[in-house]
Amino acid sequence: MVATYFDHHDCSRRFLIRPNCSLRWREVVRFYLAMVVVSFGIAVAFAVQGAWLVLPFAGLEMAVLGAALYVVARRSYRWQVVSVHADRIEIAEHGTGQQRLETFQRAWARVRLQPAAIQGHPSRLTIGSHGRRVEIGGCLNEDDKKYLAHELSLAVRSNY
Amino acid sequence: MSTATAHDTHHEHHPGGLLRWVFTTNHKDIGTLYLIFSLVMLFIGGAMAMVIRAELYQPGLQFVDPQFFNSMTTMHALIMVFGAIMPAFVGLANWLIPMMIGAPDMALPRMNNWSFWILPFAGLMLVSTLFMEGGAPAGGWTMYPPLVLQTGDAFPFLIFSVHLLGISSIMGAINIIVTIVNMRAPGMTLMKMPLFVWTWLITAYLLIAVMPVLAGAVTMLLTDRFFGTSFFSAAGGGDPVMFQHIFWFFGHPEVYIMILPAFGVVSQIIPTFARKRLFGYSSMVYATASIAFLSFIVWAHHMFTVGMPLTGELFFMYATMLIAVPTGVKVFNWVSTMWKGAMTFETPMLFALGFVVMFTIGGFSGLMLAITPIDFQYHDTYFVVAHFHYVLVTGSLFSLFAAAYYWLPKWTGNMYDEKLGKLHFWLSTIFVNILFFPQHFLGLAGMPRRIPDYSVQFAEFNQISSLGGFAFGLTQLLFVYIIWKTVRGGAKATDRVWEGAEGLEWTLSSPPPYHSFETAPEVK
Repeated sequence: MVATYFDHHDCSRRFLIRPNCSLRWREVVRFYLAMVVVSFGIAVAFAVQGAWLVLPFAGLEMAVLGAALYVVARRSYRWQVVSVHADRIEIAEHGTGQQRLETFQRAWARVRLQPAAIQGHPSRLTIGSHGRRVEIGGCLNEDDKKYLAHELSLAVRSNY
Repeated sequence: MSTATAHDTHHEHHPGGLLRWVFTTNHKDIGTLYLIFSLVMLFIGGAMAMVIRAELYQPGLQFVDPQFFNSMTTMHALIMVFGAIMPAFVGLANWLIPMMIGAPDMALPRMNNWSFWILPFAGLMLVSTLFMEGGAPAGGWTMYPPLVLQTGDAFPFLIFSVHLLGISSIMGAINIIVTIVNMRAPGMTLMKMPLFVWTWLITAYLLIAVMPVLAGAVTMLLTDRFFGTSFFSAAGGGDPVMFQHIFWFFGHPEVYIMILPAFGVVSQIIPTFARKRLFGYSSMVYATASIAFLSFIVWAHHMFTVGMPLTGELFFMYATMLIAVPTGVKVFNWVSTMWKGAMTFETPMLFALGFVVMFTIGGFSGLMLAITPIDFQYHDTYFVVAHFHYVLVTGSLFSLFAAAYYWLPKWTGNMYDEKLGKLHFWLSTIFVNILFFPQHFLGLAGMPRRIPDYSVQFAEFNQISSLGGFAFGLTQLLFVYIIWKTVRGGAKATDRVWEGAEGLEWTLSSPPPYHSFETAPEVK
């Protein structure tokens, strides 16, 4: 999904691009806790009856489930911020413990939406200049990508 | 930050040849592997069923000794439950869930690869017990102590293979849950998900809840045998009945693990061929959740004859009978979907209809078994065998056949041979009833299960049942031929395949691209 806004502080137009994630982190945590309660509830009940060997397996399973949910949620929490300043364009990628920044001269930068070479594959939206290009919005669907391409082109060409 | 070049390489390169199948992380490849594996196991387990039916064709001992006969019943059940039916549904989940929710792949593709590749080794280990000193496990798939502790060299291999099969199931379930929870396309709210996805979400939840119980139970068997513990040994202060409680706490939800996805399959197919929306979508979701919940509180109906307080018997009897309510809601909704629909009867619909009618027969005999005083009569007789085969063969297996015919054109890009498909349905339906229906009468007349020899009064019904069994087994070779023929070629399938089909998977080409939805589609 794409969110656009104007940053009055440094007079730049910003585009926030995030991948689709159908459950927010808080809901993931709630879901996980519900699973933990059920799984450990069963295991503890059996442990009380003397069958304590169910407990370690329940613990192991919940650890794997928690890790799986965390890994996927973490992957979904990467985002790109494209900032169009008066003289330059900055593309910042955040999340998963690393931050990267690419900068292009605004006067030279071109936004390009390349259609897919193979049917069913996605188009590619890139920004760059002088033979160096960076893909943006790889996580977006086709409609959002077209919208972003249009808005970015306008922003790069306009004066503010 | 990915550059355009790196992105390009990622999308268009995937290994070919044999290594493609070994290292694949693609949900369609892994789905295909699961389905092929389960088909192979279906025939191995089916061959064991043929041995059982050959021995039971007439009274007396003809072909095998009693120990081997018991090994056959035990291995047949273990292979069919853990090797055929469950992996087949996981295969369907792998193929269909990402396509149905608009995701590019499963959430954890590498884990998906591991969870499949554990299976062949576990299956091989289980089958290899047939060649070990003391023979294969023969104490029944329920592995009750102290009987199972008398297994020969095969015992630790049985436990290890059950562990591996369980690990594979848990990894598959975790992957399915994480995929459905996190990777639905924008707009695909929970109550817009296809019923197949819903039933699998609930099934995965059940799997995660009960698999540690099975793992704990079989580990306690292992420590009782090799490490001097007495969890289930009365001599050491343990309780063998405790194992039965633990096993069936896993075992009864396990039955629903094998039937809930079947409900999902049928709920996809009937609206397509009735050309109507599914009647009562939300009630279907709530009914599935209710069945899952009830499956946790009915386990002791398998143990009425073991002994329990009267209040316990009453509780488990009424709780079991309560399951008929949400199941009835489902059957009512399927029938209501068909009511005044513009129905056509292609092979998937025939198998779905066969499912509705014959699964209901299995449901009714289950209701009879739920009644405690009646269960005292039927317990451990062929009536029980007939009941659960109506649920698992005409229920689960028929839904798998329906699913195969329904989605095969989407998977391969080719239409299957409709005439042969219908022939497969009619032969299967006739022979499966010849196979299992007489077993009701055998059970009512008092024939015990798991015996290689029997009183002459049961001879006729056993002969009819065996003939039906051989014919049903042979008929399944036709299914393999139909699949082989479809994979090799045939009339090209359109993207939508079926006129009344609805859902995201039908918006993809037939066969679909290697990566399903590179970008999430918008669900209106």
